[in-house]
Amino acid sequence: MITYPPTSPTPPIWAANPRPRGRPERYRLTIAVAVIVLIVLVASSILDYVYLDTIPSRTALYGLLSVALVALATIIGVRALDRNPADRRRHLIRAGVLLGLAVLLWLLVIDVFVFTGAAGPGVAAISALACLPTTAFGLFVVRRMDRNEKEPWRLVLVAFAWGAIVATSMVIWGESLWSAVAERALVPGPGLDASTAFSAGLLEELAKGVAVLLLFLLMRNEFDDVVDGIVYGAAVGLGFNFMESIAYMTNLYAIFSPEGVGGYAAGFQWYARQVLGLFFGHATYTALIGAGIGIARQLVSRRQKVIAVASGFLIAIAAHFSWDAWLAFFPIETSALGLVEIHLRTLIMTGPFTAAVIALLLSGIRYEGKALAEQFQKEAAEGTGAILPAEVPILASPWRRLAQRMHALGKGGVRAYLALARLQTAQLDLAMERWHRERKEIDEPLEAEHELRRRVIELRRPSRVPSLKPLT
Amino acid sequence: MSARTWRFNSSPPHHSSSSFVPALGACKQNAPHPLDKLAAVRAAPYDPVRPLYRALLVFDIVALLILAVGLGEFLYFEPPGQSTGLKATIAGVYLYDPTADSTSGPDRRTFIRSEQFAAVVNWSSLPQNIVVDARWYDSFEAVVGRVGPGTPEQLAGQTTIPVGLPAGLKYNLPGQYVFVVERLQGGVPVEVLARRIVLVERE
Repeated sequence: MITYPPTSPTPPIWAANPRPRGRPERYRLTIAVAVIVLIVLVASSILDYVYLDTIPSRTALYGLLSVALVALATIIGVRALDRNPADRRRHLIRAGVLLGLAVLLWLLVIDVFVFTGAAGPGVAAISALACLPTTAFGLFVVRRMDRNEKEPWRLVLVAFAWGAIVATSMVIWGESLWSAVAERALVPGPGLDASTAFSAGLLEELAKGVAVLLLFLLMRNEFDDVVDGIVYGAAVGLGFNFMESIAYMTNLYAIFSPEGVGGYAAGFQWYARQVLGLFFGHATYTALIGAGIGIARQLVSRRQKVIAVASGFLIAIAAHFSWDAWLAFFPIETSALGLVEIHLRTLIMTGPFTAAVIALLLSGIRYEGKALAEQFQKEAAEGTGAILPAEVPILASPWRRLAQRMHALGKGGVRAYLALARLQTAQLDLAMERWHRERKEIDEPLEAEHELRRRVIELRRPSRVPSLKPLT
Repeated sequence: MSARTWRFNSSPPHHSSSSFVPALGACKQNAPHPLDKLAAVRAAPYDPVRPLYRALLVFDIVALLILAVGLGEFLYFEPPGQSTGLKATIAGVYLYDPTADSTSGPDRRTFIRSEQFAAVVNWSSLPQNIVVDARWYDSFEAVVGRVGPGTPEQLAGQTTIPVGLPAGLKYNLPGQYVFVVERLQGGVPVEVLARRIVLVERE
């Protein structure tokens, strides 16, 4: 039988890495990056509109409102975290509404200025609806990969929206300009293909990677290690892939519908990008950036941090480049054999990079799991009451945590399940905080850890977790 | 950080090394002892982030190789220093009648999908000692029309280069079509002597 110690003041714990109060230094870097992104977006959209006057440039210009909504939603969402729980929900709802408006507006912009004339709004809407379930599945899987401490949905969705709206807006101008110059200066053929592939790899990965970098700088509490980096990176990639899928589906529908095969062309794009390439393409590339940033999160030396971040970008750019540049070396037959070839091509060309992400992810999960188990034991040994010795083996195993929650569900219903889930999450947060403090990679005051501990003790009261007693 | 995961390292420890000391302490009592030298060796905790960092650096090498191969490919097909200053003359891009193999109307820059069109080249403006060809690329960068390669004299009878329809399609693809007259060296196009871009509208 687990006995519940009375809530008592926590014993003093040496603060591993005390920092002065006030805003951390990284906030300045965050503001600098955000300002650069803003300037690039506004200036490039206006310049592109004035000088190139292409259809995508109009998208970039009118899409600025959508980008502004995403930025506003991000600010409100982030600030909501600092508010008390009563206000937090209200602010998160506001942020969610703004994000939803931004997505709708962006879809409208894409539809009106790019494909309305040819494909029509109906095709754009059907394409978006077709991509939603697969992308939602992708996000669900990506978030579930973090077995020990799942990232909050709000941040995963912010990452997704940045990938879908901000990153796509940023690359439109750059790629239009690069393409316009290259087509007038280079010999068409493999050389031009290589140039275009360099532009796609460089510009798209930089635009997507900025979102992961901003999350790393701004949301340090929710960006713990390589696992989190991969989750956020993949979410940004899925967002980009979502918007790109809609663009390609509607575009190819418009091209091939006069031939009577528009639906087939759009359907093929859907399969290639939303089924076959869901995890292999952009999700893999941006996950590599996230892995680099996640590893940098836990490195001590500033030089190594910079190298790790740059490495993530470099690997992602190379992976993206290799696909775009050498796709033509794997031609697809128009016969039934082509169906096999399409899958083999994706597996051969992107598979190794996806395998690299999976290897980093599994190593990260294993390392994180061991570190958390160690912290559970240390917390239990200190006798603060936040984690009891009997709970350590359960908390250390994702499956046993799930089994305990399911048991609570059977005994006390949904309320008991949710109460226990909240307790487990708070205990994991505490262990994570301890881990970062022990590694001297945290800039929060020690009071934050005490607050987490107080929260766990509050959550574990029998009245809050009705099913805990029967479990013992 | 548990003591069993520690290893010898030249870097200073992040944490107290007291758990490592007892073995050394025992040796010190019987000084002098060769193990005393170990006192100068500092212990540092083994950091599992390092293997991840090293793996990232290994992937980095692969990435650099890929980008280097890409750069090599680019330089092979776009070799620097190939500019001869020669210019071919494209008389224009006109509506094309495939049955009569003739062009008509004014020089145009835009067409609709159902219109067939062709470029007309004046090969006589080029010297006879070079190998050239002329190609049409569609909006997917596929070659959809071509004459050559050959010397300008050999191509003198092929001044009209029409755009062909992609296999199985009834209309041209919409988007930008690029027509180029290229100089070849070793079978590889190395210089564009003339270029025209036309737009096929979606209608």
